[in-house]
Amino acid sequence: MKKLKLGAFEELVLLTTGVLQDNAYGVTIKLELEEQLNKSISLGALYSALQRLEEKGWVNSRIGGITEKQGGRRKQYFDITKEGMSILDEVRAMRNSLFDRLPQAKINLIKP
Amino acid sequence: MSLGRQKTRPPRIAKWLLESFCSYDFLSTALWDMEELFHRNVKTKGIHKAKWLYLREAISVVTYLFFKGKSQYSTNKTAMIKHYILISFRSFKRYRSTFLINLFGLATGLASALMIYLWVNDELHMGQFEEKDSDRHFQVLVNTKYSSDINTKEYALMPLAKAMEEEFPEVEKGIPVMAEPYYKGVLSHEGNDLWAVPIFAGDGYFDIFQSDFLAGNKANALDNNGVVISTKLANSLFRGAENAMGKTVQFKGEYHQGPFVVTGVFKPAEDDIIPHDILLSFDHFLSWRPENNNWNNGGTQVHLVLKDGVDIDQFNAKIYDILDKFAGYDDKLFVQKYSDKYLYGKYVNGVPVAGRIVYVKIFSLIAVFILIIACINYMNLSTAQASRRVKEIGVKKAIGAQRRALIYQFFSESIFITFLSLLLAVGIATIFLPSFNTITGKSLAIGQASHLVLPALTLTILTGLIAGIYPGLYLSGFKPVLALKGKLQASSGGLWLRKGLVVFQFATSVVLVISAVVIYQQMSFISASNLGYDQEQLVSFNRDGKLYEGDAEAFMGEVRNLSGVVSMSYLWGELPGQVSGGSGMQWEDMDREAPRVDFSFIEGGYEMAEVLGVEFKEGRSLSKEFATDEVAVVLNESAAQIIGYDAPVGRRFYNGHDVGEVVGLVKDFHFEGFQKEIGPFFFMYSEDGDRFMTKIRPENQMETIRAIEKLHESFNPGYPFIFEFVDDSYQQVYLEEKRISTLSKYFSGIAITISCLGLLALTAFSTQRRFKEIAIRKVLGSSNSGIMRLLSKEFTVLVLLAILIAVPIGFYLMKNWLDGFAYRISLEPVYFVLSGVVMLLFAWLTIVSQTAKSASVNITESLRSE
Repeated sequence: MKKLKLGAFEELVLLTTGVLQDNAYGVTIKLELEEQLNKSISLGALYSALQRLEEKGWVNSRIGGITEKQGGRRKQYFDITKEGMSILDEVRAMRNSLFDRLPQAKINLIKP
Repeated sequence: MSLGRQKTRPPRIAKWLLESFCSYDFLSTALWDMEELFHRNVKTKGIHKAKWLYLREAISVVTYLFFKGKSQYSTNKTAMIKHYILISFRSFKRYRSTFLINLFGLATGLASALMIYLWVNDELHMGQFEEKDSDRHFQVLVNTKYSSDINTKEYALMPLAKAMEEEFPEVEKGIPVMAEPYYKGVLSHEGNDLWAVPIFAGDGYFDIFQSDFLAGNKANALDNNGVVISTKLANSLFRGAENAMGKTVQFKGEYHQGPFVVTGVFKPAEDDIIPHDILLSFDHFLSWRPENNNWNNGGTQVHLVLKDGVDIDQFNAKIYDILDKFAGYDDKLFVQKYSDKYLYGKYVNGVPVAGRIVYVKIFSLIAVFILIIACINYMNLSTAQASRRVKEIGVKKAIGAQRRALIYQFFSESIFITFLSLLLAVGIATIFLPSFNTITGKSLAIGQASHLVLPALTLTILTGLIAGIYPGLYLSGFKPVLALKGKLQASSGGLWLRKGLVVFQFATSVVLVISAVVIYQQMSFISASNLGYDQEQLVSFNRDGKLYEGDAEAFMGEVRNLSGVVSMSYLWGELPGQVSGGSGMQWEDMDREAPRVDFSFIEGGYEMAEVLGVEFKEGRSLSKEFATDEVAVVLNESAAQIIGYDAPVGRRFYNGHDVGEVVGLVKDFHFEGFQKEIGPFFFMYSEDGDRFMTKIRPENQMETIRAIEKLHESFNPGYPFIFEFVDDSYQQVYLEEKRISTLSKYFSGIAITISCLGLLALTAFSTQRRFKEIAIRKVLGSSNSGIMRLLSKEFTVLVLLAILIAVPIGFYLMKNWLDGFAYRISLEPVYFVLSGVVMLLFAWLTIVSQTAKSASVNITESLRSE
């Protein structure tokens, strides 16, 4: 099987998509990420990450919100897939195991 | 749709960007998101910020599509542009030397244009203040009529500002400003003394003049005994701005002295038109010299803040002869917008005409021409190269490319290469800006100029479009069948155009070279010309303090005794330029009906004329030996001519105060700059005078000056000794012309370089095409030199034609420029011949370097190739 890699920014986008559940589309993902990261994120970068995620099969997109008012514009929602969830889980498990192996002395560094 | 909603629409250009680059599906997604964000931003951040953010997002989306996006999300346009860039790169790689010549030529042109743009932009903003009333800020100017012409001065009468404020409803505020280096004084604090040039500012000064305050409050800084000092003074007297606030200082000038409290510290602006160190209230000036506050005394500037919507022509008509009513003078008044004064500071017949704006225009033109020359290079090279690309074009056409697509391709190639050149140009400009700044006396920087981005991009795209026009139209027009066969219809029209462009290019360069030569000649004429007085080894320094009051004679006696000193005197004002003038002179047998004549004069000590080294024609200098010399005068030749005496010595002359005898006649000398003609002039004695003039021997200059300084210190403690060599300050008068001279030299060099680059490539190209012809000629026995002559002939004719065209244009332009000087070189044919020869020489060198290569080519090699 082709090994698919999850980049750091992609991981964040994927997580946010999952967190936002039914309401994940460009604007909401962008705003949520900006709030969490405390820096601005361009739509271009976001689209590029979302499209890569979609190619890898970790998110699905669906169309919604077509209204007269919007003049035929479509809202593109994103949902996290089962594969997407499992890669997140995998990444997290890998991180946790690494973290658990940190010596106590290093962990003490962050405790007051 | 209501107007309100119209306004809250995203910027059209951003939408257009998205629409042209996003595929239909992706466009609707992006637009939905972008518009939702936009409306959100309008509410939270305001319409302008929201529009800006929208544009930024649109650019980010388009760049994403361009570099990373999948092709189904973008339109064909993206793919097309990518393709164009790829093709451009390939052709750059294949024709490397042409590419490098194009790149370098365009980059040099753009770099010159950028630097000139920075300079012009800086000039245009000089004297434009950002204070709140600046666009209603006018200055009153005074026209005085003399026998032949009208003289415009900015010195008005003392009570005028107030009178105008009271008399005219249009005037919101009349602000008198006394800004004369003449009123300089010494600022002291706890035993430290520093020279300070004051501005005496009327109420409201800070509303119209920009002053960058580091400490203190502009609103009431000059109330009571307040003084505002420069950062320089604050640093030397108090170690810092904050430290200076509230401290008491003494200011002591010729007529005025007193304690002041520091109420503000300002940072002098670099483009300040009147350099000054401290600001004091105009009321102090009047209280020190109350006798000055009448309609007989002038010397103040009058600035007005006019009410909104005042018609300036009407207002000028209204104030035209108001002085007659106020004071009984027939001088006429008019106002000029203050911010216009810097660029339009030259007056002819009492009307502002031009001034520095002339140089701004000239250099803008030079920038445009240099760019055009660079563009022509590109055009010529690309079309000359056409035959190499004929097959590419033929194939494209054969598989159905439309002409329009090909035009796009060539334009995108030219725009792309100008963009690359822009990058290089910014680098070049950054490297050369420091030297450019030294020449122009400015402090321009590319890094800080964020306002430069838009003009630079516009300039680049425009250059790209101009450069691409000819190849775009020419190359795209090939007939596919012929093109595929590799046969080009030799259109004579295209050939003529190309030759015409070369001629134009070289003609422009020659005009620039002619200008540089003439300007250089005029400048060296000025610096080498005999001024009629001897500036060399002439040292001048201030006469003030005790030396002003009475110790001068004793001091001068001691100085004259120094072994290194030849002679010494003092005078009012400075040479050249700052001499006094008046028109009330009278003389024996004067024609009382004749119009008044304006005389210039220097008041000062005895033996002034000797110290200045003015040549005597008759009589002697004013001397202490004769008691009557206190009222006597020494005339110059022009004065004698006006008076009408062949032998003026011994006749009686009224100098405006006293009647005395003419004791000497000196030859005409340039007491003013070379722009002005020598007028009637005389020397007269005065006890007063603000500058000492000392002629010293060339040997041991510094020792002599140090000895003078020592004497100065013992006679006049507390006053700093600041001297200058008169010939140095003379150079200052022509600083601007010198700068122009240096700049024109460099820019004509650049024009020559770019033109020759083009010629280099063209010759290389045409010799390459005639490779076989050359080989055959050689086989048949042509000599190398014969072949070189054959190849050079065509271009030599073009360059000669260019010179022929350029000479009359250069002659006309330079004649106009020289007309600004009263004393000037005549336009010698040799300047034009010289410029032509220089150009021809450069062109030949270029051509020969190419033809020599092909003439010495190996015959068998070149003939074997087919």
